Amino acid sequence: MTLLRRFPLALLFLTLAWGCEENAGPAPAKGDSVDRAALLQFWAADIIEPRYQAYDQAVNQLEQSAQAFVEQPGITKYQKLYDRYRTAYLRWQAVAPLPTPAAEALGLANYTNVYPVDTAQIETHIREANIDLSLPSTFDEQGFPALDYLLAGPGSPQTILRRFQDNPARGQYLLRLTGRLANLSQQVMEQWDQGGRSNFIAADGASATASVNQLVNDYIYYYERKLRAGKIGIPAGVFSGSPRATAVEAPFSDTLSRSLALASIEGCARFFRGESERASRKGPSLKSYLDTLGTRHQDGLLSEAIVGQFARARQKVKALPPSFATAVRSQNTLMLEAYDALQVNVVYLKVDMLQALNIRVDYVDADGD
Amino acid sequence: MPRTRLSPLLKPVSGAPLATVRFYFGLLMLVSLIRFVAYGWVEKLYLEPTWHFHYAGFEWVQPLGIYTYGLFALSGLAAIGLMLAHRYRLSALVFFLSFTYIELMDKTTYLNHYYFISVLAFLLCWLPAHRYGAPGAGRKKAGRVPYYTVGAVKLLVGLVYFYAGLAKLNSDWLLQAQPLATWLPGRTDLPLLGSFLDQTWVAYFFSWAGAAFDLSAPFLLLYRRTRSWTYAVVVLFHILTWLLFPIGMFPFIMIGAALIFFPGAWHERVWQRLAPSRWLPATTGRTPQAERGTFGLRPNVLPGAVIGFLLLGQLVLPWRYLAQPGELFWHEEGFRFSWRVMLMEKAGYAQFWLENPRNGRRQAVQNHHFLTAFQEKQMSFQPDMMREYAQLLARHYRQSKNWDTVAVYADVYVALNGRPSRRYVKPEVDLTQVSSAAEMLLPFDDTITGL
Repeated sequence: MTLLRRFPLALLFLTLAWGCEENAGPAPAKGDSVDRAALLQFWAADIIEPRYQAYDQAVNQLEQSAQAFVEQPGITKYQKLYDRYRTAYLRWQAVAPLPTPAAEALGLANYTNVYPVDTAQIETHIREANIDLSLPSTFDEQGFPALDYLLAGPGSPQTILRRFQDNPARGQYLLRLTGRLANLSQQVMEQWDQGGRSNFIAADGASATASVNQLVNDYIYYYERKLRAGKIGIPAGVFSGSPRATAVEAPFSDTLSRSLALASIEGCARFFRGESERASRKGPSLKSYLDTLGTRHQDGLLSEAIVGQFARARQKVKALPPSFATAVRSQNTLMLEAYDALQVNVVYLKVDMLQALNIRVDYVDADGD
Repeated sequence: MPRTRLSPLLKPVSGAPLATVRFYFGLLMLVSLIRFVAYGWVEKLYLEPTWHFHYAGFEWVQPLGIYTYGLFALSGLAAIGLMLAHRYRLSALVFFLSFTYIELMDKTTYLNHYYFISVLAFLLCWLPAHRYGAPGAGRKKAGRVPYYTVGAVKLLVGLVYFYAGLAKLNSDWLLQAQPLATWLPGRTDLPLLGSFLDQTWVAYFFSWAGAAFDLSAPFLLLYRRTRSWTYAVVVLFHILTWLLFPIGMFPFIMIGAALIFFPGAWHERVWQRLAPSRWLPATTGRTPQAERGTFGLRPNVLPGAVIGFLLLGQLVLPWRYLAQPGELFWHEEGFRFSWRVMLMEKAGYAQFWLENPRNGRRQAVQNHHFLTAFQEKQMSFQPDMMREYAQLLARHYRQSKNWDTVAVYADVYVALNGRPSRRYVKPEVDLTQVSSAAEMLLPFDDTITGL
């Protein structure tokens, strides 16, 4: 062991280092260190900000087409509205794994995508038109899942359209929902611009409250709970013993749930690999962080195992029917296979990666020994 | 027993070292308890969880709802009593019982330093640590205590270091510099020292120096020539660990406890300088007859025997793992209560499955429905907690979901000291039917040599 032979020398170095703390020169070259500041800089500028901007743009356009539609409910405007709903929902999938501190404080995810929705309550709110949508009890009565019910609820597009034409209160509730999505997004963007970004980049330490730890914990939480369990596991009945078609994401749209799941996997995988959303380039990432540390898994690198597993999960999800409601009814075995493929990365990310990066999986802090 | 053999142990010595440890310990415990409450940990660790992990035989120890705060207050009052030696024995006993009760409420929060606090508090119940350095000590006491009472604390503190050092004599610690090679690079943000922490040799240096320090400190503290320097290293060592790791009050507890190794005269000088004179005995030379009663200088069978058994237990307990086959770090049977401090980086992920063998129904468990994030994290690599959790799940599904029979299986993956994660629990074992790690775990498939 050469390292052992270097031991006395090491001792001498450290003693010297302690001895001349007062007139310490520039820090010695870092061996294989990870530059957290550069990592955060890249995440903020090339991933988080463009994703939130794209989402913000989409919910604003969604609000505009909702206004146009409510003024004159017709089939063309309905189709345009549905299209923009779809775009905004897909872009949400890229935002959801990476909550900014402001998004977290506002509870953005809770007001945006809690499902299944309570359709009876939504109908009541349409009739009574006085519900306060900031109440936590209304999580499952707003956001994209509620829009899915309003815009794709049972029946043909003509039937749906007629419901709006017959009852202006329905359009008013639609406007409240789209307005609220746009407003929440705007609040998050404002806080990001007014100090949020610089605070995020400045907290480049290793403590539990520093940005890398927080974001990576949030990211894994999202992957485990919202993607693996929420989009696939719960509808497939993994946690209840029997499939639940009503628990899929966007159950009223015929072809949306698979696209949303794929967008979610893609959003997680691109973040892991450090793919910029501004240009086709890569920057510092969880992958490069692991590679710098040389973390291995069985015969290869851990980072490669994770990237490979993202690809396998994507294949499994691609093999599903476009509507997961159909999938759980007729081909639930494929849903379970997709769940298993997603599950593998929970272990890689939560156990192997967090250990290598020395990030505590802790939503509570307490002493250790 | 012949009196001559015991007489060195009974030799009257200054009670000042015991008083210092008592005062400092009480003060630190008060601060610890206030800190614990102020951080909201009573709420998070004891009130928020719907259910708690228990030590075998202590299932009856439960948080007391909102009165848990009362328990902390009682413990804090007893800590003040210890500090001032007010109704000393009652204070020591109340502190020991209340603190230990708190620790027994949930196994999830086990820490070696909490255990150390309980042991030291228990020991203090049997020691005359109130003879010196307390309001009223000046009136009647001469401040002398039999040597064995000071020696008992020295032995306990020495054992903590020495056993912590022995536990480091394994191939992961010495040859791979694990877990420090995992932990240190995460602290490169520290000023000055930080820039060294991601270098491999630093992890090796800290590992070897840490082991050497733990093994030698108790002996070097015993000798006059080496004591002061060693104590300076003790302080440096603990301050470093405090900066590097989230270990709360532990460094300060040990910094105080190690003062016991300084001679009585040194302690007396400190007390004379810092304490009001009525806290100090009027004479230190002669031992008044009045003091020779209970806990006095005459050999007193009960406290002597209790202290003897306690220390004997401390000597033996850390070796109980030898009775278990397999790798201790893997199965953890005999890991607690043996001063294996900051010794491994272990993390896991556990997915539990419920099965009704009658109708073949099978479903997974969302752990967050039953456990807090902290409980889940701790359970995910500790087999005894997995078994207890499996029992909870089975009970819940029988009672609340009306399943007639419940089998509980688990997909568990664990990573230890930088090794890739591997499957941990045999997937075909019904965890409600096993009572030991050996029955449920897959083999480690690697070797860690050493103690």
